[in-house]
Amino acid sequence: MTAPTLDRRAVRLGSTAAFVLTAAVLALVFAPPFVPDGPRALLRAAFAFLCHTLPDRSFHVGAHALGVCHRCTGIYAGLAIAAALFPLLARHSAWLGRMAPRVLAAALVPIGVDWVLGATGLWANTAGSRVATGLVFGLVGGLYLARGIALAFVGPAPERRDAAGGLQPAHGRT
Amino acid sequence: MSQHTTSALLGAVVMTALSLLPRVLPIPAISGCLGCLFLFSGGLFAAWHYTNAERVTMRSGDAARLGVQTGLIAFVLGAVLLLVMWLFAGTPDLTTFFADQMQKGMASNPQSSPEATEMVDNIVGWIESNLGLVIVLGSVFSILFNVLGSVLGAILGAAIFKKGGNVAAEDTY
Repeated sequence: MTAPTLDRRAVRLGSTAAFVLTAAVLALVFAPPFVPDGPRALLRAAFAFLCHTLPDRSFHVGAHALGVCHRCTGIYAGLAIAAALFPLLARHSAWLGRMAPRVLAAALVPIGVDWVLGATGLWANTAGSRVATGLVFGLVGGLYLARGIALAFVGPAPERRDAAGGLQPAHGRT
Repeated sequence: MSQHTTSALLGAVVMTALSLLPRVLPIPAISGCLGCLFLFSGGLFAAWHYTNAERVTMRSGDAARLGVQTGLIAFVLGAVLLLVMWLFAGTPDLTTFFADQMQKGMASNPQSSPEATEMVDNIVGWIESNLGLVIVLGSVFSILFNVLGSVLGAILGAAIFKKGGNVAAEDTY
């Protein structure tokens, strides 16, 4: 069984591609206050499909709100930060792969608790709690995004020759 | 058609269908809070379908490729759907159609602020004189979010839906 090697080149490419993608999305999130009325309305109409965009639950720059709410802003910021930091954590990539379901589930716990307690009236969530819980999920999601893209840059595992010298297909490559 | 493409196509269909759901069911929790989950749905479904069809556990790298494919197909499907809607809308004027779609987009989210809806009313003239920019900006927005959501969804799907060979040590560094 040949495991693909996540080399530095793949890590760099994966991190860069993930960062470019998430930074572009984050730029769109931050764009509405800084663009003229026309593009602002267009962006707000588009973001209305993805987020409640409530003004009292969104960050403002001057009189204008960002494209999405506090929590979503945290998620998108976390995705971009984690994509940029992935090279520092790439040596834990195999562990991240093994623990993926547990790590992802754990990252959803703060958001879930903050939302459920808020919805039931047991805790009045704040802008800070919404951003922080979104950021936690975004950071974890960003790590897996960068790791997945990095692994996409790894070539197929090399084919191996059997005892008779015949080529065997690489394990599990699809 | 390869299994990758079939799964990506089905994922894109699911994603496009779910993105239309807020227009059919304007429920705040669906249209607002859970709106971004629709972005993940295409990749998640594609990963689930591929895993089941091929009886394999997907590697994250393959899932990322599947996600990109799903996101791009979803963009094309969305564009075709918009074109069909325009042809059947009985509105020969593309500006009026776009303004109408933007207003419907705002209205489909009951939590969206009235100011935002009003803002769309005020920019019909701007859309008319900047139709090219509207199409380019809309396409860039759609591609970025579709691809990001689908790649994330497919990677999460590959981690959740596992069948066949163990890929616990799928990479070394």
